[in-house]
Amino acid sequence: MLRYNYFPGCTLKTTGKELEKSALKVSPRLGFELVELPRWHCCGTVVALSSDNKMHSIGAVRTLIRVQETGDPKVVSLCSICYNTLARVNQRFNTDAEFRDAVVKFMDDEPEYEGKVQSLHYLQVLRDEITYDRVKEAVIRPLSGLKVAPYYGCLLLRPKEFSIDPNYESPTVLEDLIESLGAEAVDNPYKNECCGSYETVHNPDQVASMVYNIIEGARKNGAEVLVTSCPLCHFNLDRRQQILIKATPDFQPMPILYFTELMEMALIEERPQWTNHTVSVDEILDRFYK
Amino acid sequence: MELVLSKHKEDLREKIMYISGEDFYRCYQCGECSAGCPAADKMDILPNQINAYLQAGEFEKVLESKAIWVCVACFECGTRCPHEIDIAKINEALRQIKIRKNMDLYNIWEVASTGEFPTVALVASFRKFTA
Repeated sequence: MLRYNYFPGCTLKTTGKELEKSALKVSPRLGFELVELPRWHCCGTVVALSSDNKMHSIGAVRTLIRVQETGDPKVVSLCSICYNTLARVNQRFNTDAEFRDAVVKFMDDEPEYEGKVQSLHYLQVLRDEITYDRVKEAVIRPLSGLKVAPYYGCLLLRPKEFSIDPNYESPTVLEDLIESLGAEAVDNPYKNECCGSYETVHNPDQVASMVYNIIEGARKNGAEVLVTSCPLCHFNLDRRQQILIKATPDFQPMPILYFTELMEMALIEERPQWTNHTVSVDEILDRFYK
Repeated sequence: MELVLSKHKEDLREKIMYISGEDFYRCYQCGECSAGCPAADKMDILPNQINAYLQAGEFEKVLESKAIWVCVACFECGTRCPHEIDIAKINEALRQIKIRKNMDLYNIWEVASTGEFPTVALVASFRKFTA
């Protein structure tokens, strides 16, 4: 079976557990295994944008060194933020000599990083290495009739040189996966727009208003459920709907799934026991598990 | 017309350009950034206006704005910019100038206890908005 270095990141061990659990369940059905890196570090979350800040990238470099030690240069993330940060820090290491020298000197307790690791998102592995044809073959429960809106958010697509889809303004990698599972992908005009991200900590109302646009945009196109790849997007899209339910009388909640949870529905026999949804998914599950 | 800046303003300009690594003088006010910004309706100064104020030497005006704390670096502005000015980096530099004087946006202990948050949200928020 194919094996990939897997970097979970902090949130897949806390509020985003279901993203990891479902991915670990479905991968073997597609002929590959995610092998968690030993002694991984936080990627540093969102990448430091200050030219003079090197410290916030140290965690990411340490993780890249752990990947280097495995002998396989590829590392797969499920979290969009981890994917993006590992890729950006790796690029900075390779293009910014001052950054590289300072980091190497600071980390003299570690083997020197050679800059050769390739950060991949799980969706890239599915599309490019496993292929969606293989996904189609593995489907045991086609999600016929289910109308699914994709949600990319920011860090799978931007900055554009780090986009997992060559068409960063109008990507299709999630749509193609949704269709491979037998469901219907519906257009979502807000699929590339920010969910409010970490603004959720001190300004949840701002996030709620951004979530409203995303969900209403999807609903107007007939979506019944929305899928995402990011544990922070999931938290915002799911939890911040509770603010909208209280504040906006005509608002109808929409269930939010990780793309891997949608895969679990199509690829695994047993009915999932998810615990991370404040907006209930039961109605949709009832349709597919008699 | 030549813009003559005081020593204090000259220092601020250098600092913003150094920390961000971006040249805001390249902006020609097409407005693509503000048209694409998903949080523009929550900002007191729009992304293109931030560049305009910086070009005019009105650094304090931008440093005191709410907009720089509304931006969460989704990179929509920089992706759309025909001159590839990464405005998210400019906003980060402006926040850093405040944060490096210990002017945090909020009190960590008060905010973190207001609910359950994903780890990634807490770490990102603390790194972007506090010293």
